[in-house]
Amino acid sequence: MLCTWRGEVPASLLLTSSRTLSTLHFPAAAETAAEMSVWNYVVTAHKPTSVTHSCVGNFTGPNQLNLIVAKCTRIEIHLLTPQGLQPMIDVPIYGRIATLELFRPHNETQDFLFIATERYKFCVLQWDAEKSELLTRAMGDVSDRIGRPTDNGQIGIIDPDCRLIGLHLYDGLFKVIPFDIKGQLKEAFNIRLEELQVLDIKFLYGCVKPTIVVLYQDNKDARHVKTYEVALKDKDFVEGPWSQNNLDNGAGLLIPVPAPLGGVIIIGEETIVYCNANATFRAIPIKQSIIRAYGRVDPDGSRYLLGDNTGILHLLVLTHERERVTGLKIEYLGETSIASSISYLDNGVVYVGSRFGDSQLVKLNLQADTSGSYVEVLERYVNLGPIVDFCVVDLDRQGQGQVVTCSGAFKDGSLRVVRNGIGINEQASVELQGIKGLWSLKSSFNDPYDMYLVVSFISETRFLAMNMEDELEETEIEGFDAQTQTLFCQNAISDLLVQVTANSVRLVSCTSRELVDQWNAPEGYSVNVASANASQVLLATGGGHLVYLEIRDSKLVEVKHIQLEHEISCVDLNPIGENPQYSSLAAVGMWTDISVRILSLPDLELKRKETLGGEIVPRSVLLCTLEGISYLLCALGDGHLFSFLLNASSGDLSDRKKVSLGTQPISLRTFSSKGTTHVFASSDRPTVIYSSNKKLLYSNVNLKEVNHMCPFNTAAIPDSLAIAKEGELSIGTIDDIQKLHIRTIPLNEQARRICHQEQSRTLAFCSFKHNQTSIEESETHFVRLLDHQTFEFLSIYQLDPYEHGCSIISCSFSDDNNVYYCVGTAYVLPEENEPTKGRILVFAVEDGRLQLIVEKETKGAVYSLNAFNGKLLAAINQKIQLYKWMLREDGSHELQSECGHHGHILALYTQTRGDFIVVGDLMKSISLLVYKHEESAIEELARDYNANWMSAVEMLDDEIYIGAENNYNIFTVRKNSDAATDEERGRLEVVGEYHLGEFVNRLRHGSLVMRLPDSEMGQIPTVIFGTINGVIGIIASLPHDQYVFLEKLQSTLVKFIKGVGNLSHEQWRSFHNDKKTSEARNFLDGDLIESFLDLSRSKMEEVSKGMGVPVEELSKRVEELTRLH
Amino acid sequence: MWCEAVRRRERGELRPRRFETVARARRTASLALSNRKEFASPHNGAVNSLQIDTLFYGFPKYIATTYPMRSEDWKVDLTERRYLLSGASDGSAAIFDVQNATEYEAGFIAKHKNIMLVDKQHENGHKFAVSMAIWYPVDTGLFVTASFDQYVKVWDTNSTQVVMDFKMPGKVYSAAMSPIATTHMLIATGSADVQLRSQLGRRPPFLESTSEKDLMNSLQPSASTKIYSAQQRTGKSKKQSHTLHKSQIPGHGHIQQRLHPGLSSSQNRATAHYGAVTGLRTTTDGMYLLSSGSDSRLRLWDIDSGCNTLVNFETTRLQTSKPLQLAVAEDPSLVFIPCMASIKAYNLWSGMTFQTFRGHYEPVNCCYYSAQEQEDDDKRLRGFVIDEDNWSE
Repeated sequence: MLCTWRGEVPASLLLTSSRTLSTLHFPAAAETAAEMSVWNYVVTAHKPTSVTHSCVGNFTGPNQLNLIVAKCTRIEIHLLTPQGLQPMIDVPIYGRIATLELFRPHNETQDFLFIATERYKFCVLQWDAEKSELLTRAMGDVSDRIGRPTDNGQIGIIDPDCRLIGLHLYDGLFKVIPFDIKGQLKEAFNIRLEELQVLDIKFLYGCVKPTIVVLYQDNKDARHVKTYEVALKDKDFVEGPWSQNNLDNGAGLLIPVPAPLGGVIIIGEETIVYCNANATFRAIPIKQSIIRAYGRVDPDGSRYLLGDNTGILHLLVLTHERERVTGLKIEYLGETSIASSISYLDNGVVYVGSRFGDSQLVKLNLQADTSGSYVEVLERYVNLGPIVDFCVVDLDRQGQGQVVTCSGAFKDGSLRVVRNGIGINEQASVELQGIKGLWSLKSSFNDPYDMYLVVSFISETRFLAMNMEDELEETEIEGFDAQTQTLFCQNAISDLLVQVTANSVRLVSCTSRELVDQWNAPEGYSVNVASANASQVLLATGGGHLVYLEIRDSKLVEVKHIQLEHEISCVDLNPIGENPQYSSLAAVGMWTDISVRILSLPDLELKRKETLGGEIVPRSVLLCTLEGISYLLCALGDGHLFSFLLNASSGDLSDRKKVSLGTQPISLRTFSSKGTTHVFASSDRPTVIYSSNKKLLYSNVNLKEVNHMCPFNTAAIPDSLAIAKEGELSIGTIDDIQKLHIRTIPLNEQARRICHQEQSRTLAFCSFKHNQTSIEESETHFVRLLDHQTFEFLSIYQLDPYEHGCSIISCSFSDDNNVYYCVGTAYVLPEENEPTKGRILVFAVEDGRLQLIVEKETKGAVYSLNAFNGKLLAAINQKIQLYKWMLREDGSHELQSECGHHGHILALYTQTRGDFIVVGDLMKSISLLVYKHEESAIEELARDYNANWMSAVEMLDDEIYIGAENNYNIFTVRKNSDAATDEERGRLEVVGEYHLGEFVNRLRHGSLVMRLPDSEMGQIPTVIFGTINGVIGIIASLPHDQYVFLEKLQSTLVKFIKGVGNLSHEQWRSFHNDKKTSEARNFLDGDLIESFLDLSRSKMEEVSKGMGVPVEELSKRVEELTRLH
Repeated sequence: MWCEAVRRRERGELRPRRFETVARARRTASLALSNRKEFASPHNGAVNSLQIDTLFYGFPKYIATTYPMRSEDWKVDLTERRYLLSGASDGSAAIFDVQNATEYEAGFIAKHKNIMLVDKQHENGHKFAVSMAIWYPVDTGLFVTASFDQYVKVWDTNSTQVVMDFKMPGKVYSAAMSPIATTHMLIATGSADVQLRSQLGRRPPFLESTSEKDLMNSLQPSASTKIYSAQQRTGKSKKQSHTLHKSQIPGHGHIQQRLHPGLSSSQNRATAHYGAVTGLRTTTDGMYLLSSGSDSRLRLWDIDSGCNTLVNFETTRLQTSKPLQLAVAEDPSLVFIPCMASIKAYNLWSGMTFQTFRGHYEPVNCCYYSAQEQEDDDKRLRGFVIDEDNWSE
């Protein structure tokens, strides 16, 4: 009668088809009343995930095998256990990691970790097993005032006999940090290296004197290897035992072979060569590929794993007779992600770190599978990097964007949908008005799955049950009162069911479904609120009466009855002690004095009373245990939530915190997902409350409004939830409980530019695919169209040969109501230095197809496009060009050039706002142009005269622009419109500088979180950025007073939170390029500030003392900030 | 290939540093005389010296500690590579704005006229040729000129007045200031004075008068103090930097005898210049020193060891009678040498001629490489090629 739900859901019940886009327009960041400001707060919403280095060793203990993974600015240490990799620690490094090496000094039983950063700092770390933290053994600076930093990447190597550390940081210099006998580092010195174009350097094994082998390229682009002995006393090189000239032109990687074999393997693009001091020379040809990563399998160095640029994993075997290498053999193993690092763990399990796709844990099987692959993927670790472009899509028009990124490269390219909060994927729904409560019941107490769903209405209660075919159908439970509203339902011990209604408490047998016992409310009183667990029932009637019942021998026994001085608004007795069927504490919320009380059971004695303050009544209380910590949660009628730490034995409350979740009354309910308990707060902004690192976190749910929720764990859909919304009951599954939810749409090709078109409900992106045949390599470029909700591919448009898609936007033109996709392209011909031809293609979406409406040829690459005053603004090579949309006589349209502006080296990035245009140049920083309507001309207003090589720009507001540049910095400039002289007005003043340590590819306005219009944080405008390492970050413009406060907090925290390896935070965040280094200004490091919440209580108190602000106040303000992302 | 390079950079395949190098190299390779930029020279004689201000960026921190001041004071001046300073053999010095042209001819040829000129007519002007004109390294408020009239003068740019001068015992050939010194405020000079010259090997040719120190500080409170540039570049002991500096004094035959103490061994191998050293330039990384001699030879020296790198530069003809100002690209892959009426670009490592720039009618004395000022592919020359007719001997 109500609804039947079979495996297949009737189309009318599908929620996705019933949802429509409302026309209500939520203000985008750029349009909000609050302007961006120069005081910016930078925080990471998604940490870097692209793996740059990894190594394996005994770091945390002599018998513990660890995998250490570097993700550019973070390191993660994992422990290898029989169950798999177990994460131990994940810490930020104040620097971009250039070298990560494990080594073991003499007389040590476990390894030390050597880290060098790109800004010439190094540190040696040791594991402190007692405190479970990293200990700094040594640190220092290895920068030189002379020398040209090497382009080919810094090299850091450690002598296998632990005599010295070698660093190649500047062309023509080799820095040596010697160890003394005790394993301490001595003063470093430089040795001149004749070879200027060094490709790789490694230490050779088994040499009496430390010996390096250098792979280099000469003036004529030929490649050679050479060996040098390091004479530590003379601080110089001695010509080494051997050299090998004229190698493979693509030789790029050296693998030193451990003693007793010794020697080195030189990996080329077409050959692999083994040579050693005894003039042994073995070579094998390979299929052309670029091998970037290797991992040694055996300690004796006879087998290696090689990963190439197409993601193929090979096994290289050195065949040898005793200590003499007789030959090389290479075998195909299978396909993985494109590897940037390979670490062989144990028992055929290998960690494949990747920069272009997801990192993987793979098992190498002895037998090939049907496709001939020996590789079995055990686990994937999501990697968003490189985020080449992204767009912010606000599907529900709630101000919460989800970010769709162009991630990955080559075959590992994909789109990733990144959403803050937790998604509920509705499986079925039915219209149902007036739901007042929802509970699930099991068919017997020990049944793992739920059977019945109890739906309560204002004057009746209905029961749904799963039948044998896993269908949900209406049923009856005879013993229950179906003619009245249910206040609470619960499975109880001895296979009983409890129903609480306004008049009675009924006890019903699970098996017979008949009434077993009943407790009636006293004459003249009706039950208002009730709660129950497996053996206890607590209910409150009017007049402040509180009645406590226990279920004993299938009977309801009234144990205690007290009268409180005020009316009771909510009760809870969820067991939090050791006994899951019996609680010794109850929580009660009160009207009038607005308090929450903890009572002991069974005697109902007051243990603790906490006044909440204010005038809003608590509407829901909940006792719960998350990650072993007991909490009391208390939700008010205005959407606020109090959380307290609860001492489960004494009932003491501490650590009171208040957060705002929504604006309507909240009801709290626990549920479990993947074996962990979480709390669901139903309100107008439904939220999941969960615990991570022993900290409560709040994550919103992608539903608009939820009135009631109950877990409904059925065999057909485990861990699903029943959700009552306005006029609708639905059943859905819940995503993994984590802050950011990432969905992958694999493409098998690389997406480069993406944009969203709301009107056609589509996404369009430019992508390309490498086609490698045995003879030649070519690329095919496409424009693809996707549905913005299902991400289903709708249409595809293939570009001409050699034509690259460079930019895409969705725009509309004046005097035309249609919305178009405009794509800018370039013909990239191999013989041309710079594209001289490109096209602007205008597409309309018709019936889910891309229809080419207009094409316009350009005289160069269209690097950027913008909708501009009902026209189209294009950045074409050195020029900015404005096109207008003209109606021809035959009714068709064309793009007609209106005006342009010269004077850039390459105008790579443009943004517009009103009549203003901001251009990010290849190498000449930011310039500001203005379009003059009367003269129909574009003129330069001002520019930043610094030599910044730009990678992204965005206009924060009319006056302030932000740019990201080549040396991993971000900076803001301000228009000097009030300056006295033309000269000053012509200059963009640099107002903020910050070293982000990440290469930003795109800056866009938007927000990852839902904005509550009434909260302070809701007014803060934000910009999202995406980087090569897969970081998604937020730049928030703060009001000045908040900035000042946080700046003080940051400088206090710097004193208390020491960087790993004692690296300096101030130096790390200082703006740095070849020309200058200057202190960060007008930017705050949100990651540092938010790490306040991870401090121990005693540290927090120290910080609070330093600040002169109470801990609660500090926590509250920092927690507010965490809700920005 | 720009499109390809940008694409490889954005996915992390091409390191940003490498991207810059590739882009620079490509632009250097496509270097040509600028057709769109002209400097109208007010000089009546040969231009002896060219310098574009390259303000040293690290200094604000120093100021903050030693001279408390409002940040606005230096912000305005924190632009670099904007003003070109030239010194000529008619005793004049002039300043050009290289960024903003004074006028445009035919719509796109940017004409740059001098925005300031001090010549013999000026009450404090030099009487004889200006051998060297250098910017005060901290800001463009001051510049220093050295002249054959035996004076070194310090000028206030804004008032075009001499704020102080130093009388030297002989012709002054060269002057230098350190952009990074933190403890002093000295101008190093090289002059024809015999006494001084005989000390050059051991003592720095600094004017170490305390009065000068005080004066300089009081003149320019925004100044940080500096050691001098050669030392910055080498980062080595004082001795080396002295010798380096000394060698910036060109024009005297017997100097070749002790061009560089580290070079003595190489001299034994007879690889040093035969004749006067006419020009010197360190590479931007401070690792190599390039010298030109009146023997029309170029030599590349390894500063650390003092050895000749034995790069065989293709033969050319160099002016013998005048000091030359050389320039090195920042890679450093190319070196620019004034070769009579043209400028030659050599590959620094192979010694091969990479390109020859013609555009002058008479011998070129100096060239200056400015990496930032490249508006189009063919504009890098603007720093070193200026109004042709006035570049004459």
